[in-house]
Amino acid sequence: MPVQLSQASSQDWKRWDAVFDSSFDAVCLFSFLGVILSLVFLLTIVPAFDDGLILTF
Amino acid sequence: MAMASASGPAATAQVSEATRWGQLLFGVICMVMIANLQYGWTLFVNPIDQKYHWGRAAIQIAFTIFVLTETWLVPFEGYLIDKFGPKIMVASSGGLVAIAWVINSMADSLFLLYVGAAIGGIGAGVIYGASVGNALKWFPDRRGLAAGLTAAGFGAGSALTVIPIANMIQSSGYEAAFLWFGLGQGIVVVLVALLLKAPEAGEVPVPASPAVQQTRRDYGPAEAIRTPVFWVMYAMFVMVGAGGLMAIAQLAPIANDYKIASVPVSILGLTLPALTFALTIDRVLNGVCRPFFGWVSDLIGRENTMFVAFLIEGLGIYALLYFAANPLLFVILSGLVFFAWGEIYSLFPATCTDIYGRKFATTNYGMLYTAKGTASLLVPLANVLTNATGSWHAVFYVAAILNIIAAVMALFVLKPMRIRTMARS
Repeated sequence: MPVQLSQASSQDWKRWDAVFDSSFDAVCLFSFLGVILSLVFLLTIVPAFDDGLILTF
Repeated sequence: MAMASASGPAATAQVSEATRWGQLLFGVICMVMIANLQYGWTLFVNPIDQKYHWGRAAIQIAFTIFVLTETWLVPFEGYLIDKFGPKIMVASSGGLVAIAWVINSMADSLFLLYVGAAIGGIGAGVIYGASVGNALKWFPDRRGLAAGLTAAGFGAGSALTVIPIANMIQSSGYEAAFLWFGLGQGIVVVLVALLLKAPEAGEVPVPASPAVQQTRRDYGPAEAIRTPVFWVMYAMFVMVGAGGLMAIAQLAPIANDYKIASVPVSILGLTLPALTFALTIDRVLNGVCRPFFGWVSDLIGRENTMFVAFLIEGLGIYALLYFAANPLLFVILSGLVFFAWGEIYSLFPATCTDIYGRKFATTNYGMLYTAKGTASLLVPLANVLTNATGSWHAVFYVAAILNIIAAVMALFVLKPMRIRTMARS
């Protein structure tokens, strides 16, 4: 049984290795920058013009 | 947990039409289940304020947090969906949207309300991305229609539950509505997610002579954002999204300025006050236009459809400036503006996948979809114009011009760039 556990674990790591590539870095950076810049915009610029941080959809 | 990829090594036999329409239906059901998180939220704001007196602005920050997490995390979530398939991601997100509303039902502090909003945004983002991405992958031959039907589930889905939620808030309190609708929505998503799957290679039909040109290779997200055509689409998405939102946000001030808000208007036997009528048909037309324009784009091409829709939107906003004093024209023209606005959620995902391929369809559209978040950030700035000029006229001019520019860009910038990018691929 320990051998089986070891194999499963190794496969899981290979799968996650496939995830962490340059594309993954790009989407992480895209999402991270988007959240940070939006927060900066909402917390610093919008309150000067608007009552509360209210978005409309 | 199988790696789901449209270009897997082993080709599989083409599936029946019922199978892929079934997949589309499952995606639409998931979208309907998360529609309340965005469109039903407004029902809860006053009851929460009445109980805790936190103030509407502080409570609405929860909605802002929801929008931020629901839009900006989709690229990251979409990448995991493209890698691991929709089943596991959507099923776990069904749990998240249920947990979010259960937290809301018990939240006795703003912090807890904000935590619930963040969790709900993450869950809704995954479900939105996976549902649209799956539709794009299963229907290479009817991509506009499939994306439009799925997006319509989100736009119009809340229409089914607005009245039951409002009734439950009235009879049992907002906490019960959050708890039971949250659990119900989450459970349905989890169950439906178990039926979701991405197509294997060869499972979907390859149209012999597609009306819409499609790429011959799959672009990764890092490649896609390096192509200029991606940013042209992004700019157009922001222009049309922000232009429409700016105009829609000014409907109530216009109706009040012209003193027509409560004037009864009758259309096809239905009589309602003008402003209520305009806001009611918003939901319906905002949902209907998504599959309609998506279907049209499958027949005449994406950019041609964008040109027509964005031009109608721009001219509709412009006409509203001059004819809004007439209650009947106010309702009809605002309906036209709504009708020509929502199709961005079917035309852009379809165009994005036509250009960048199916393998990373969810991720690539996820990055484009963040334009919705960018557009919403611009809307509060419309107040600057209103305050500076003392009226809403300038906002309308800006909104109309943004749409007309986007319409012209569709034909004279996007189309040639898209053709060049595809020729290189």
